[in-house]
Amino acid sequence: MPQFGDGNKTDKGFAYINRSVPRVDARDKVTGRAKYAADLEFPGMLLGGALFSPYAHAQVVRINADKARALPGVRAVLTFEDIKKEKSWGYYTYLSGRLRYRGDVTAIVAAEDWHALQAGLNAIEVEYQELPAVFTVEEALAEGAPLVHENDPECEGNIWSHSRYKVRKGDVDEAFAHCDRIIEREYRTEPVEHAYMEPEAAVAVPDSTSGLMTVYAGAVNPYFTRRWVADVLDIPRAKTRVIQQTVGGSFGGKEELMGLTAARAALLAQATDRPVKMLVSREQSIAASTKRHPFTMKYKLGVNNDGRLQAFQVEVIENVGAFHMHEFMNFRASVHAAGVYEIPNVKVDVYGVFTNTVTAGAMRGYSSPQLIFGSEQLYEETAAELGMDYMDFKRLNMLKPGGVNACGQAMDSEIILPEILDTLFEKTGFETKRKQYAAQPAGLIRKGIGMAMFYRGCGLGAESPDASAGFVCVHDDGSVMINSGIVENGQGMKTSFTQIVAETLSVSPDIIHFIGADTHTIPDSGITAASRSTVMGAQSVKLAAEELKAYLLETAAMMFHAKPEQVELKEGLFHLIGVPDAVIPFQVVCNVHHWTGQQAGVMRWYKPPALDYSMEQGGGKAFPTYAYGCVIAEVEVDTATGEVDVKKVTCGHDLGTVINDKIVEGQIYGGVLMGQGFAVMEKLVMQNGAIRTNNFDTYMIATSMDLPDIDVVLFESSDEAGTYGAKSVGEPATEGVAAAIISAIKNATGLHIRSIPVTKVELKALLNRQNAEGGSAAAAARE
Amino acid sequence: MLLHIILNGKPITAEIEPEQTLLSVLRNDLKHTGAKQGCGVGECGACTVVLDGRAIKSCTVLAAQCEGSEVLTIEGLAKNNELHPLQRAFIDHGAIQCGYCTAGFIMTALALLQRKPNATRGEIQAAISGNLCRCTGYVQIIDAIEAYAAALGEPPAKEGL
Amino acid sequence: MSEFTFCSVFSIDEALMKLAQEPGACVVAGGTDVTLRIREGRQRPGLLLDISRIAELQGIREERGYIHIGATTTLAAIASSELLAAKAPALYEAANRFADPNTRNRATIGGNIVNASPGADTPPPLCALGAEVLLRSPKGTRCLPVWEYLLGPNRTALLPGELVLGVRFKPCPHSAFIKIGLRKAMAISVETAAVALEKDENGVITACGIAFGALGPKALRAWNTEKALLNKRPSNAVLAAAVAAVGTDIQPRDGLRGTKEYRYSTAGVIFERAFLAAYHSSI
Repeated sequence: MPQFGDGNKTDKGFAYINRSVPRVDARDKVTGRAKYAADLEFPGMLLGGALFSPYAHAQVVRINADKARALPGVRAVLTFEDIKKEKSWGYYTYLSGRLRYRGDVTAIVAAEDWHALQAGLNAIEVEYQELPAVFTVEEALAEGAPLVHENDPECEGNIWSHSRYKVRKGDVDEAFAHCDRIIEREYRTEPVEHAYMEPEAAVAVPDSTSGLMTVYAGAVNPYFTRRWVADVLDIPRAKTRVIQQTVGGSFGGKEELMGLTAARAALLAQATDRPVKMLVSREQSIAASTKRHPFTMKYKLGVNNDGRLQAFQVEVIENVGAFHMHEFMNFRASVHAAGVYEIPNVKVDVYGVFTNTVTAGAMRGYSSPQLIFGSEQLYEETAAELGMDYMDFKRLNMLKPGGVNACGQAMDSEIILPEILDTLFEKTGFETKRKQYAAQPAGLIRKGIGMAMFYRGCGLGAESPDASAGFVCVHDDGSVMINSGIVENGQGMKTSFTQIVAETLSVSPDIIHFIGADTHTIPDSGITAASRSTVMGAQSVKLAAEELKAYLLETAAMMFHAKPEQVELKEGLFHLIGVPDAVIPFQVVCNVHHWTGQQAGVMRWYKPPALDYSMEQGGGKAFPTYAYGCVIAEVEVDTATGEVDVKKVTCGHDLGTVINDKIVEGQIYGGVLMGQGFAVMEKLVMQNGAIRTNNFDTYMIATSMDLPDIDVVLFESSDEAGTYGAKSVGEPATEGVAAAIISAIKNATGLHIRSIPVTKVELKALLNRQNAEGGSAAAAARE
Repeated sequence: MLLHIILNGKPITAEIEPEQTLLSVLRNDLKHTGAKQGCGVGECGACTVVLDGRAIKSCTVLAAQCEGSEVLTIEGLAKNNELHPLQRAFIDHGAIQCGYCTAGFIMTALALLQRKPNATRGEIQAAISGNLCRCTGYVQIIDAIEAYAAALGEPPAKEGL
Repeated sequence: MSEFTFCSVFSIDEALMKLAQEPGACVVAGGTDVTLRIREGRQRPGLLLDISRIAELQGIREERGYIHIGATTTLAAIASSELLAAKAPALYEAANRFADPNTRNRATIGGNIVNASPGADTPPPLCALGAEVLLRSPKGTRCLPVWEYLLGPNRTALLPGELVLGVRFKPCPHSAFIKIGLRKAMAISVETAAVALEKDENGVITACGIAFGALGPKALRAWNTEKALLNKRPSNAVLAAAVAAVGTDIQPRDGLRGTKEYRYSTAGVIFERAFLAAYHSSI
């Protein structure tokens, strides 16, 4: 399939998708009218706040809130002793006397204003008994280590049993016994902060007459937030309503702390019978919200001297922090661990370990950024050991059309990776530069170019049901309304869905209005995550639009005195096929449709065909389709200061079908900077379980000045699994970037980097060591 | 204490506390919530407004120091529901994702181009370096500002008498 | 109820009077540090004394052989001053690497030196330029070299009731500033180096000031490094000796932004880069 873009643009024959239309929420956002949860006000509203733990691990011996309660302006103080249910989903606690990390909360306060709130929080008397804590995987797994969760049937020591996932293919032991070489390596990654610009906020509004609790929140998954609110208040879901406000970024992160914040606000609203707004400060957000899982990846690779991979084994250990609810991530991790390569024998084991540090959760890529870094570096080191050109090695072993991937899934859909590689290599002059830079004479500033290739299973796959609800209706004035259980997080999903409905009905997106997300208007459609929205989530609104269109065709047929199959709807006009002048505008048909009592709204459910995958055996068909990609990074390394200047990043992604190219490009640009941060900038510094880089003055996300030149190449392919053939892009956008940058640093310096992020401070230390071991070793290490 | 400012062209009086930041007064007292709080420490720039012609981070400015000043916020840009061309440029170039930072970028760009209508792409990139965005990777934001600057640079159409 | 009061003053005398009345008053210029201290509860409640409206404290001017910069001059004004670009490039460059353009619109040079953060951007170039801080109290005005005025982290020689009027220094076109931060904008320094020098027609260094930031409890004047260069004509050997001396001048520690190892292994690099930029700059 050709590239999408100017000149040789693909033409899939669409009228309203496959092109850029302005975002449907853009006008509200450029005028400042868009309301985020923190912007809301209600009559009689109180401010809520939380008392966070000053220790990584402690038991509250005594807590007394009498003084706080007596303060003027303080309307409610709730401690863990005052609530019926301490524990929430995924081990998290709403309020607790046993504090397992610094994000835990002992008490919450509602007050008339900010001063009273602070006074109230300060007046709560708490006596803590500090407990021994574990911070690293090694400490947590050591003999006799303090347990994060005692007497827990889901734990073996500090290992979280439920999080164990595996892949088994062939027989690795047999292969190791017979292959020419065995390469063993260990790679590590550190936690990454999502750094969405909007910190968590929620407003809970009680209605004592109806018993309904309404929570307005910037929640990435309003249904999950509803579950926590209903759970802590012990009221039915049907009496709990979460109305999603504009979400100021999520990247997978606005879930746990968001849900807890909503639940805590609701507790205070219930206690005071007044609306309560709870704002989370940036410092609290960084301390208590989830992070990208830090991975330790222990590899053993069997390879023959001709470069053919024989066996791949990895143990992936995640530091999940104190609590967790993302065991499913490890399914994805196990499937993707070996990368986009064909290897006959595979053994993957993935599991999480509890520690008294900040909790890990979903973050853009959901294990792939870590695994791609680890495996791509591993293959690069392996090629170097074999004395092979690393692209020859990669091309030899890469997954090819008709091949079988690492979890045993036969790849029956189109694999456009070779085409992506060829295009990007030609655009960047990759292979020439790679050789030239490897041979560059010693110097202060060294250039490097590197690449990473990868694939991503689209949607949730065999992880959990990828089902969703979609609703479409028309009004008598011809306007169209969409509702969906999938939600806008800033990624542009409302716009994509609007385009998809426009395409299906064949009407202009301008007359389509997206409502939601409101949990009282449409059933739970699962989390908006895993880059599933457009690929899978939009299928339900497409089905609804198709059905609605059939009803409208019947009405139009009646008006034409014809049969429905003689009528078509094209670009907002109903035509009697074959009769050029017989045309009725959409709006007129909608009007008649309404006044003749025809069905004007359709809700449809979409559940993709079941996949044949066995978690027990560790293999099978894991995902309906995969999106392929490649990233090429070019860097300049200042060997005197350790500074890595990322000069250029070229990205090629398989979009299946591009729904909206501007939105896709925006996702990719943002993904590149996030990947750059993961590789060389974003260091989360922790000390005794406390995050010291707890605001944007110390946690370094990229500014506009750190922006490399980014070249985006979009490819389309022929797979039909996703809505109109679309594949995922939100996560692939960032997944391979860090790996490509690290590969470029290797090309520039000869250093194989085994732990990221590598900021200039760490890189300089590595360069110093390399120097001490003899400058010429550097040259020898370069291929 | 009383604060008098010209907010988006209109004289306003507000009862404030001496230690309140300009952001707090705008959001909590004057109900102008277009400026956002993202960090509270003058880093993210989501709270950027134009104070006496210069873009500033309103979370690190004492409101009391703004007595008599002119403050321009995002709410003051669109006139009679007609978008400012800079707002239009942000929409046309896909410069918006979650939107939390958007107002801050627009205010920074506005102040830059008022002082320097012929700003180059590099100058635009430097000017917005105090505004963080986690979604967009800045590219389309820079495109939007550059397009608006280019439009400013074009000779204005001759107006008839 | 707020425990703070606020007062704007319009002259130096009025400011001194208020400071005498309320010795605990907090002087506010641009407010970029004070607002943070208030937010974090580090600012003792009391009078917030606004000096931003005192015209005498604003501006950059050259007179009688000195460049004067008023305390409430913003970093933006310094970063766009053609006078400083030509006659004190080290300070000009430091201002251009300070935070970001919008913060520079409020932050002042007075605030930067009163706050006395070990990693502050303007003290190293001021030290290298041999700048003096002008301090006024009801008793009169005194001048202190910046390196004596600075005592340690957030500690200065400023006495109760005293007001920083500004800084002054002699022009030094051969000056330069290098900063290492963890990103290219809005970065608090990992370390900085500033070099200011004079040379004769033979290229012999006749005067020099060298200073480092974030490599000790305060901006450090690098006396040993200066000695290694003074009255010498730079050669590879002279420069190597100077780079070696850097290690004896600095007192780096492990911190949030950099390790002791990093700082020891790169301080010489940034000194050398600043030196070469200063030495080869054309007037």
